[in-house]
Amino acid sequence: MGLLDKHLGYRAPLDAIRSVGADPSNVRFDAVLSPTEGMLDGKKVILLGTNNYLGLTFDEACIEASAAAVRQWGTGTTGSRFANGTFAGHLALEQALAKFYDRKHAMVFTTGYQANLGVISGLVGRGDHLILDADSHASIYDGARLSHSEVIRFRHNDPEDLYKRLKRLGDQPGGRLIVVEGIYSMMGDVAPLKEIVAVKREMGAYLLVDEAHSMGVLGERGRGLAEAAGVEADVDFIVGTFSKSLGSVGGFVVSDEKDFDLLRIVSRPYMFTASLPPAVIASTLTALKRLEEDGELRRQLDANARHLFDGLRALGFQMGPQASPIAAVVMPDQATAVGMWNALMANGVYLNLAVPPATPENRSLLRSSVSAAHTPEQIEKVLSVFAQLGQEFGLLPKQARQASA
Amino acid sequence: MQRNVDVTAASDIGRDLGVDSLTLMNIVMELEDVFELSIPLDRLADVETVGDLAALINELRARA
Repeated sequence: MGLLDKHLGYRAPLDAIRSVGADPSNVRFDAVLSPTEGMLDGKKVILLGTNNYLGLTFDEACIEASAAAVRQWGTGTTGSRFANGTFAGHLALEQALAKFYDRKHAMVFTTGYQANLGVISGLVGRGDHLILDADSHASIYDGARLSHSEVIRFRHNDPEDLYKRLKRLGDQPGGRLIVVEGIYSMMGDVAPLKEIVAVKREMGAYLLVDEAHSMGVLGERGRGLAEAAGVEADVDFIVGTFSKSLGSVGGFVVSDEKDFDLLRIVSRPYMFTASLPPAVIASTLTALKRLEEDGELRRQLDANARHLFDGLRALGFQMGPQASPIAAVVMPDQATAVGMWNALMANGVYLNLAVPPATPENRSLLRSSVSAAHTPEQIEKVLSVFAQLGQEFGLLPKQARQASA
Repeated sequence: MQRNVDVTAASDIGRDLGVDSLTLMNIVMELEDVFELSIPLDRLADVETVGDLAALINELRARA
């Protein structure tokens, strides 16, 4: 009897997926050539599933800042901010984030996952009520568990259902925190934030928005969905990540909440882990500056997102509800999804295979994420591969290809 | 799940009924609407059988 025996239920499905071709949990890149190209098994592939929204991972200024920081400050902090102290970069990044969001306070975490864990578990505790969108990211669910609060789920993107569940809590004591995401990472759909804010106001709750996939993507200044929806004043906490549009790793929260500094001594995922290394902080700061100053990146991302989404839909694929940099193609079943995913890779397109239980409504998805760095030619290539494979797998009628040509 | 199963109070929700944790959370969301009740997720930690779930709902109803 091994300790891992309890997970043996996953063995057969995993082996079944592996037997078809590549292992989606362990794709090995020989090299990464640029934000949009990598080498797999000696072949060049277009990277279409890496959340590299602004394509800044190879930005010259970011690389130089990172290299300068590693020389000046060393490779790591070797401990937490609490124990080993704050470096100039940590402070500069927190100040830059607070300024970017026009908030009083900002706090940086070592990963985006830890940001949700640390913020949620710091804000609500035993006897408080945490109201989550049912399709929330795993980091939000894990933060909920760490918080020991009373967790209630509401139906995905359904403000009326949220209202109903808040109302049901009645006059029970305890704080209320609603958590939603700007763009949902699997289907690429956006939260109806205006309506959610209206419910929050009426019912008297706090609101946290996770802008992991919408920072640098939505809003005139790239601040995310809260900015795009014009409701920033009603969003009490914004959580985000550096590992998508900013091209590095780490997470953050910004807020105007009073006594914010107490989070630094109660948030265990902040206190009991090493802080971000100076090189990461430096490239993130540089990328944030670029995000603020270069609106053209966002416009290019938007154009590319529409190009791919509209193109896939015109071919006849079943897509998520709206165009965003995340374009999810809904597959009829898991076997088709696995087959298509392998065939796409063999034809030079790398994206994400997403299967239950990681997906909403037990769907099997081919999830792509577009970058501002993709060229129109790369997106056309992707569309032509999808058109060809869609027919080979019987997902598209024969004439669809002629119509699109 | 297309197959017919006999559900009793002793049925194990995961093992006997093949209900995974995500599905159980969705079922609970439905039950909240049926009984006009809040069922916090942390309370599901002790729920293994259909009887456990019924007892939890009865307890929460009695308190409401």
